[in-house]
Amino acid sequence: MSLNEVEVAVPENLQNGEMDSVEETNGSMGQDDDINENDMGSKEVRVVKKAKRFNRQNSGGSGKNVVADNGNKSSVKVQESLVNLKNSRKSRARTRGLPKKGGAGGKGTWGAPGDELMEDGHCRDAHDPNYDSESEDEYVVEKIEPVPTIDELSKLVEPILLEYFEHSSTEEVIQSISELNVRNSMKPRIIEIAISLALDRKATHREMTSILISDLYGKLLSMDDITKGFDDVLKSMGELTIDTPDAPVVVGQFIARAVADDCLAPKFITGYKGNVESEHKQAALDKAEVLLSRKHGIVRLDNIWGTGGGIRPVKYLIKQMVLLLKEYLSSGDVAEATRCLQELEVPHFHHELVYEGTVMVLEDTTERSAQMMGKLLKSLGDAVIITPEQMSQSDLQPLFTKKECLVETCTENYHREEERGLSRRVMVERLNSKNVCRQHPIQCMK
Amino acid sequence: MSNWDEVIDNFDDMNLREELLRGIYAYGFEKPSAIQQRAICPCIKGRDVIAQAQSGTGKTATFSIAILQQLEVGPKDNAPAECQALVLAPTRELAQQKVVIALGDYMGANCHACIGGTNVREDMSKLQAGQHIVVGTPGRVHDMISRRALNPRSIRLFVLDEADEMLSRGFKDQIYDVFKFMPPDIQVILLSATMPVEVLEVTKRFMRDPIRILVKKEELTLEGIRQFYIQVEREEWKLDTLCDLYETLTITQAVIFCNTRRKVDWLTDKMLSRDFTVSAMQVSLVINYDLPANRENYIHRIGRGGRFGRKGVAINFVTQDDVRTLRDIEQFYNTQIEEMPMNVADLI
Repeated sequence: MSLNEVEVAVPENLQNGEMDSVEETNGSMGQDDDINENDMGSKEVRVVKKAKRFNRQNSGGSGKNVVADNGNKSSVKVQESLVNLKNSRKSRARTRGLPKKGGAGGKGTWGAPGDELMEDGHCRDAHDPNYDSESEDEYVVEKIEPVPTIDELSKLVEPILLEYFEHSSTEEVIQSISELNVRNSMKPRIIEIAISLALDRKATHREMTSILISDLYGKLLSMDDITKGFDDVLKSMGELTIDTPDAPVVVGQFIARAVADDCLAPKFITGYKGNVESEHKQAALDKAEVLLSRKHGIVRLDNIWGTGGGIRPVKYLIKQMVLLLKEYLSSGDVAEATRCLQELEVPHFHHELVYEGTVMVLEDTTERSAQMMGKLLKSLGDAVIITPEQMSQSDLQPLFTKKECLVETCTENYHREEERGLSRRVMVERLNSKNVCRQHPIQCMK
Repeated sequence: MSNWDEVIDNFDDMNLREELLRGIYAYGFEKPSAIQQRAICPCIKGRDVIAQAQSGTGKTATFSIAILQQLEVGPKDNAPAECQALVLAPTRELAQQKVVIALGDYMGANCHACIGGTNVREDMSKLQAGQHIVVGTPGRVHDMISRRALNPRSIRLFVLDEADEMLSRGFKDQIYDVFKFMPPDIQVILLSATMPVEVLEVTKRFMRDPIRILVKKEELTLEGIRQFYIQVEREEWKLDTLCDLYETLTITQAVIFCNTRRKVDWLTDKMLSRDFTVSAMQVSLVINYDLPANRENYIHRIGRGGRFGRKGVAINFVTQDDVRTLRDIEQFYNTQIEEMPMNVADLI
């Protein structure tokens, strides 16, 4: 219905609204023709406007026919009635302003007759969906602790483990999981979930997973649970390998580490001998066996996941960087040095490598080491493993930015300094004092 | 390889289809990030693109928008949708591209992430029902193609997300295998945080006259952020310290980081009981109630260009045990964290 039509329809509706009976018949009859006959009859006689009826009748669906009948209404009448509608002091609400529920309920009433009968206490709550008026049974509300299903368990445990990767507190994990009320038969699943998450992640998180498994042992999981968990992981080895190509190696490492941590019996591996159907499963077991049979194998398994990561002390990370640089200077293997650097998993700390590398070259003095270091840094810079910002972050900036290649700058600077009679030592110390981070301990705090 | 310098600094000027634009704003994006300003347009124009930027700078949304803009979504009752875009990601977790799904919501785009595991059957039936966009690890996608669950015939866009990560996880062969199934005139978009030799090799092998977009200035940085610490002798006193802080400063909005959800819940209750409104976004201050356990996360919490840190003041609560950790963070980022001065209010 267009706006125009509505406007025209207004006076007509207002008119017939005057007759009280019309409103009622409208609701019950539902035949528009009859109403319209009524309309036609009444319109000449009385013109009284009641604003509130306008809405109701209009929504009744009779508007269209009304329009058809009174297309020749004078516009004067329309205007007049609209003005009156606007100035009407009557409530425009559809109801008559009486209390709700026909006087029975609502604010300030005593309720419907009979309401008080329900309050004699023989029924606790008649609106309770479980209340049965036939039997009027008593019911007891019992506290139950829901036991999660296998699917629910994954949904509940996964966030706990992901959070653990952030805060690294095994206590917190143990507490959270014990709150879950996990059925004993499902406990092995925790191992499965943990290893599956670790497969998607890097060494730091794998190390944390190994620590967690070892800490869960005895507190939340028995050796049987862990054994069963690893059994299940091995069973799904084929699937896991599709999404993580090195899954067999990683799972093998997890098994070996668990044996070394005394939470998995060594016979776990030997028990599988001769009855392995999948190659990936075999690969995982072989890996574990090799790791365990090495000389001093058990001790070396403590750092099976390497020694990097943002959770290690900075001092330790620096030592690792120096070590990898020294190794590089003797091997000249750029790819290996790059791999070692990335294995540390501290991309935001790579500026330290620039610093250590430069210091090393300045201390070493040989042309060869300067050239090699330049080659390494250039390669890391090109690959954006060291970002441009990191390259120039420290106060070494003047050494690098003027000439792209470290080879020239380093040696040039070195020679220049030497000409001035400064020893290499002095220059290194100067560099040290320039570099803010080395100079700024939080001394005020003990 | 040519470099691309054109920059479009708002989504409205990118000539995106209306439903997609609506999805972008509904998701909460306001302004494109540096990589998005540069990479979206060439991607939409059908060029092969190498986009190189740190993780957490909006690379995922870049290719999501490029895919959705080029997608042909027919009426639902037609024949099952054919896969038009394939995204390879390094891990199952990253393969669950929530961004694509959210952005494509208004367009009625079907996107399926192949999860594998116990859901292999479900994966296959979903794929056979028809998906416009398919995401998965290279191994999983290869598996689905060789099982004939995924028909690569009408794929027009091939995305390699976190290419460096994929290659370091040993997916080289699978990537090459998947690529063999692709139609010859396919558009390739490669995203990577770093550009080691192996990645360059892939670009040379698969991409034709690619545009390389390198966001030189790191987006995620501590530069220009004032960092302070407050010494709190005991863990129990942190809450009172926090409330003192709120009383002395007129803090309009702050993000507070705790290390566990348990602590977050506890702190939320405490703060609500003291009449603070707890909810966030558009933040003027970041408070590390706990220092992060992994130093790498520090920059993600407070760094400029990160998800939360915008205006640039960060306050760390430091107990006796944390002193060492704080020093390590300073050295790690080559930055300075000073004791909070009295006039900190002027800085917020």
